Amino acid sequence: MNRSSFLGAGIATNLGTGMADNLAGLHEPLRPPSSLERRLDGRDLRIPCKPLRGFPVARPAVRLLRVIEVVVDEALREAGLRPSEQRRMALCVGSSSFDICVSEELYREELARGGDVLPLRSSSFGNLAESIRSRFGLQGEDYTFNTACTASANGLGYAARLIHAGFVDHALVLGVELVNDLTALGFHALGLLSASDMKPFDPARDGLVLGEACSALVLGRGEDGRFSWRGDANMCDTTSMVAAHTDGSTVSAVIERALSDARLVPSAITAVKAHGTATPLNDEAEAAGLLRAFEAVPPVCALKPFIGHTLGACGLTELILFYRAIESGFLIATPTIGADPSASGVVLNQTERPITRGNFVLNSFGFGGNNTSVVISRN
Amino acid sequence: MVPGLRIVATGSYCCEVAGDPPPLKSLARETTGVPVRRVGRFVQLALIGAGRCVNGRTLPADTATYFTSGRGDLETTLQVLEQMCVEHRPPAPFDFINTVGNSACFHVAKCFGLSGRSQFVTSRLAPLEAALRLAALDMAHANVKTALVGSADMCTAPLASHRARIGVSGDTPVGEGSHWFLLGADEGSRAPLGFVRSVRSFPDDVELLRHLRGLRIDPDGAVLARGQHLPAARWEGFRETTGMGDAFAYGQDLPWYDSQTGYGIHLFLTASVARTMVHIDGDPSGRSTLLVIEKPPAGATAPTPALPDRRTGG
Repeated sequence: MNRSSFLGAGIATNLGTGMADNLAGLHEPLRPPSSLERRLDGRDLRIPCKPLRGFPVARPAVRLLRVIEVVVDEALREAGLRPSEQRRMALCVGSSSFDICVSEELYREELARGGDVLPLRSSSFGNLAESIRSRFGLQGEDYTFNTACTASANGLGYAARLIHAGFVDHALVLGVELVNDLTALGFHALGLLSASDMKPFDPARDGLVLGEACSALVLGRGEDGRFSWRGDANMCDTTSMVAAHTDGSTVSAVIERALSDARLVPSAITAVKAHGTATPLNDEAEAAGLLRAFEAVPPVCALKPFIGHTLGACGLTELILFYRAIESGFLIATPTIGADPSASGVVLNQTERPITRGNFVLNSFGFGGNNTSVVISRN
Repeated sequence: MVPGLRIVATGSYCCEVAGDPPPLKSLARETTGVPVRRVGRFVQLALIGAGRCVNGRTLPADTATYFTSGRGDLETTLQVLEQMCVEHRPPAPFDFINTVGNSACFHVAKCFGLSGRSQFVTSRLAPLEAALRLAALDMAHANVKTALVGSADMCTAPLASHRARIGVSGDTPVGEGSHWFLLGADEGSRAPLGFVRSVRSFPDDVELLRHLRGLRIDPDGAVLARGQHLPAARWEGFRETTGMGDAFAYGQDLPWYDSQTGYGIHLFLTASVARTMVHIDGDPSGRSTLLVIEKPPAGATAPTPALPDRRTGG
């Protein structure tokens, strides 16, 4: 049996670029979201957003590839693989929008110029993976996941399982989500955006704030003392295309299956990283699921108040922030948010607890009923 | 090698498109036996292939779904882009949701009552091989017993734009396809149509050939199939090196769409007399992908079906 350990990570979010800035940002007061301003149907729209810090909005094609390069470089540097190992490692990319920001820009430019117009000029889901392979000289197998907000969590699970099964020695997982109109206006159309900020499991919660993120993790066989993937589960909840069953049955089922895959009992879990979208129905479903799965719910934290909902990138990005915070000695806290147990029965961690090791459950749920729970450990 | 990856059933749909892509709603309803509402042609296409594969069976609820596509729901994505960029209005909520690849997984799972793993996974070189590889991984290492694995790729009008978008010449026939496979690992499953003996990608052709030699395939009972991206020179090299004289040229009469591999597997299992199909694809960076499908020995008796069959009451 091969343990899939976390050998190196890179990250860019609204907290900053690079691991040090992101970890420092977790100790700081929450920043309010900024706004994307759009004019549609003759009306001005303000869409709340937590953009990347340090990557000003520029030409999307340049920005997208630049942030991926910086983040993957950081992860590879830390992992310190030999060139031959890097060449052969598997690549798992998770995103919900991929390079649609690039397609939107090209289409608008062509419309403005007049003449021949070809929307979606480059339309393959595999574009990003090909760019990364080409830039970093990767010749291993590659997988691109498009399961909405679970995409990079699923990519992580398969990367770990490929190593665990002995199919590959190393894998690079990438989660990326940059601002684009399709996503922003789609969430606006669904009425899921907050008028203020994200407050998961809070009585005042009113929806989500979109976030930008790019994160990368190198996995491989590692020694004791490192964080490692221990198991996971993914299930399809056909209750609704956009929300889990509010009785918590499908959420608890995926958590229980992940625990079983990890060969752990619920009481062995030290803390939970919630998906926590701050939408009324999804938080209700997740809270009910946690209460079903755990006789005594362990401390729960949520990352989206810091970085917004980074959609397909959230599974990996939040996992990286979570495990690096634990390695630094603390469980992430969101003071005042989710403090009232009467709202959902689940309370978010309010002060940074000193925790350095243990077993942890991390939830991600996505459109299309895609529910994923990952179990990671540091012993 | 992947142990015990049995192909229990296959279902396929493909169609050359010469003008407007054909309506699929009625066919999807007839094939699946359920009303198909609030979904576009892409989901309908996926449901037709999956429905033909499932063919009236009641699948275990825990069946996993692995779905792939080169470009997903192009029609809905184009429609949403036009709404936003030309008409300056937001997308309709369900149109937005249907731009996500796994919305088709949701509809397939809902249609057949499935709650197991659900993955939309792709790779530019070999989308269906990527889905099959992860299904094989889960069946060997994640307690998945039954899996529905499929691909769908659609065509959009006007065809000149579609050809430009997918990068083929103006005179290349184009079309759409949906190809699905029901995999069952249990020994008690119905008699398999075949086995996935190997599905892997390699950094270069040398490693692929080394792996292929290790499989000790009898060249007399095998056919060599060329994937849609493999350059001619490399294909000829593989033919010469493997000594497999018979080419299984499933792609030569097919209209172009991504993930044609599914049609090749379907045709091999249902119409070829050969015992083994060795399918090789490759990309410009030198990587290659191997898929080996093997039929059971002639005269093998069929075990009692374990999957209940709604049509026969079994």
